[in-house]
Amino acid sequence: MSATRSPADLSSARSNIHTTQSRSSVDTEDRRERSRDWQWPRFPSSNPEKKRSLYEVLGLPSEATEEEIRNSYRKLALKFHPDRVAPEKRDEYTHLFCEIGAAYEILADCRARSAYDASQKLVGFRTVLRPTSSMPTNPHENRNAHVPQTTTRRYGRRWETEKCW
Amino acid sequence: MAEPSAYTVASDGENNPGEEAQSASALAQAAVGIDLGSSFCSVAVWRDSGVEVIANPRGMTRMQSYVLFKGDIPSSGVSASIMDAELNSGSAIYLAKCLLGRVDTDPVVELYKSSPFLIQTLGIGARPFIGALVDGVWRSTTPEEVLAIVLVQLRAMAEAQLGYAVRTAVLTMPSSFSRFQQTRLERACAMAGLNVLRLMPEPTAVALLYAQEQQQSFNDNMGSGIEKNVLIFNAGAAFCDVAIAATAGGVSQIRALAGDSVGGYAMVQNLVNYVLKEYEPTLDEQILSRISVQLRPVAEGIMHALSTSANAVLECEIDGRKMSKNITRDEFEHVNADILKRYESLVLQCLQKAQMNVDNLDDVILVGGCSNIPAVRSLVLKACGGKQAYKGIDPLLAAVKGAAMEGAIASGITDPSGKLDLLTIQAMPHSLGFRISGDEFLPVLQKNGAIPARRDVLVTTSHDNQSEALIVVYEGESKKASENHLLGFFKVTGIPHAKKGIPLINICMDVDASDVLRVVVGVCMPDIEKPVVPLMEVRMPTIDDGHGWCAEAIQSKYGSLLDLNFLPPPKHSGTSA
Repeated sequence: MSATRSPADLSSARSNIHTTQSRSSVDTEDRRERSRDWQWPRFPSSNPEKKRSLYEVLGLPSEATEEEIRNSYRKLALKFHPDRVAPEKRDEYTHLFCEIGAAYEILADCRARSAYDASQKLVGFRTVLRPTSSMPTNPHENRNAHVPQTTTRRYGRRWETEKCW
Repeated sequence: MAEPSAYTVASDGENNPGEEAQSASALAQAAVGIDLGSSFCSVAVWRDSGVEVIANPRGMTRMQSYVLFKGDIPSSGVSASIMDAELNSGSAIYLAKCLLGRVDTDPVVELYKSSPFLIQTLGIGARPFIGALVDGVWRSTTPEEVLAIVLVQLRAMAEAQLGYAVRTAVLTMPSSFSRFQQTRLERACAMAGLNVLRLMPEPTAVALLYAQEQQQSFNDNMGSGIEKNVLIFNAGAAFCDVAIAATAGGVSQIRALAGDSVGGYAMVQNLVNYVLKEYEPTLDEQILSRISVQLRPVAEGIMHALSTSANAVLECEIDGRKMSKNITRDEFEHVNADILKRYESLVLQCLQKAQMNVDNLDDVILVGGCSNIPAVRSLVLKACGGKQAYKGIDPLLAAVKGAAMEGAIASGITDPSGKLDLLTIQAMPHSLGFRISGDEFLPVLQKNGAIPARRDVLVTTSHDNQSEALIVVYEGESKKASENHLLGFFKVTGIPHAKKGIPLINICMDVDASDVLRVVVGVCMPDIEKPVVPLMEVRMPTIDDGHGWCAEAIQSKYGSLLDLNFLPPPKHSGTSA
């Protein structure tokens, strides 16, 4: 569940999580959750569209400036760092924060970022390049509008099926 | 025996992480912050919207972290001050923190062998034998026990002042501490009946304090946070740490962390050796070491004097030998040139790792006893582009104040005025990874990455029909696994028979917000969706004393039989194109 949801997404619909994602702290349940979160199995055969772009994770357009990336990271950290939430939600938030941290690590490093951008272009995953009906024509109208509000899965697949490149 | 209950220390073998810590009354109180230094210790707590450093009955906030073994009850510098004569009699153990979790082949242990108490090494990779002279008998002890005695007395002192039971604490530690050393520090706390909420590297505690000050001043002035980058240099008696933090709006993000185990003790020792070399070049070694023990306190006084004046006169009489020597600041700096160079390289290394230009630094904070040495100050400030040192932070109590603040935050205390609306995003002090292809180190989680973190890598078998694989986990920066710190090892079994390179072994490393490391391993085959054997989840470190042998023993028993090879991540084969 949490693996398919964008943290930026969550911040807008936080009240939702608390009810839908409240899970028992039974050990086995915990473990199942964890192994699922592992994105297991991670192999060539597993569908790559499951991965959200790093920009989506931070809720930013791909032309975001370094400062915007830093600010967004900090804002998300304040919301999702496990130190800032109740003890019973720690595990869940740890996963989300790890995802945010991993995205930030790449995007904050200009060399890694350009390498990532290049690799994304190759497989046709670059975001915010082509307006679709679900997106505002002007990305500056609403900075976060391109972040899918329902599921990322559908969003990712659309790019694939459109075969726009 | 009518021992006061506060002075009992659980036996070394036991591990009781404060079972009372969970009780409601303990949770309602803020955890105390403890700065357990190599030579001084202090304790502070968040109370009434501020940090309060707790003083002992003699009004001291910084107490010697020495333990004197005399009679039945050992006493520490917390409750009574120890005379120099007693300190050098061999009955007092100090520098326990420097010896904690080190094996007898460690060069750092060698450095402290000139101390008056017994440090016996066999050079085989076991823990050194440490003894205190009690009534003419070398009585064995351990660094954990010594630290536990100090902690018990710190705890008793805090309880007396606060009026409630102290069960949880946040401790600071040097950033160069390995994970194994951290477990030893936790063990010492458990022996003292303290539950450790968090161990934080000393400079990050200072960063938290700085972040709060910045936030307060912004709240007063402008309103919202402007990003400020700060370099924190901390040098104490036996350790030196550097950190670079970016702070804004109460969030401090540790960008880079570096540490070394060298400090004031080594500087004084260099000075002693320098003086002795000139004075007694012909003496035999045993007499020389006895003189050097007695010369130490004098040399320490000289080091302090040289912080304020350009020269100082060393005068003393040892074993009927009169010594008198004028020592200049230049001489002192000259004999310690190596240490100063190491300090400088730490600063430069940190700046480079943080990818930061000195122009982007807003402040430089110097803390710790050795930051008073003019040469140290000037070299750090020069490396930072000639900035002025940040004022307004007490260099000796900054770490403990930061720890107390973290203790309050981690205990869930909130402050109505928003003074605790803070967050520190900690960074990994070392890279974490495992051994592949012989002696190669494959880092999974990189040094300076944010904590919590999780990453996985895929590896594969190195022999045909290999059914078992050995996972040997290390921490460190060297490309050779054997040059890093061993954390533990375990075997994955039940790998289906296949040609080498076919089975997929996924190794995931996970560090949670409390800095607990877990390694999870799963085995898959290319055409099967699910893992073929149950996953293995191992909490690290698993090694214990004598781990110096383990790596060698594994090597000699298994060789490359159970090796793993790296499997490059699959190229996204353009499924969309």
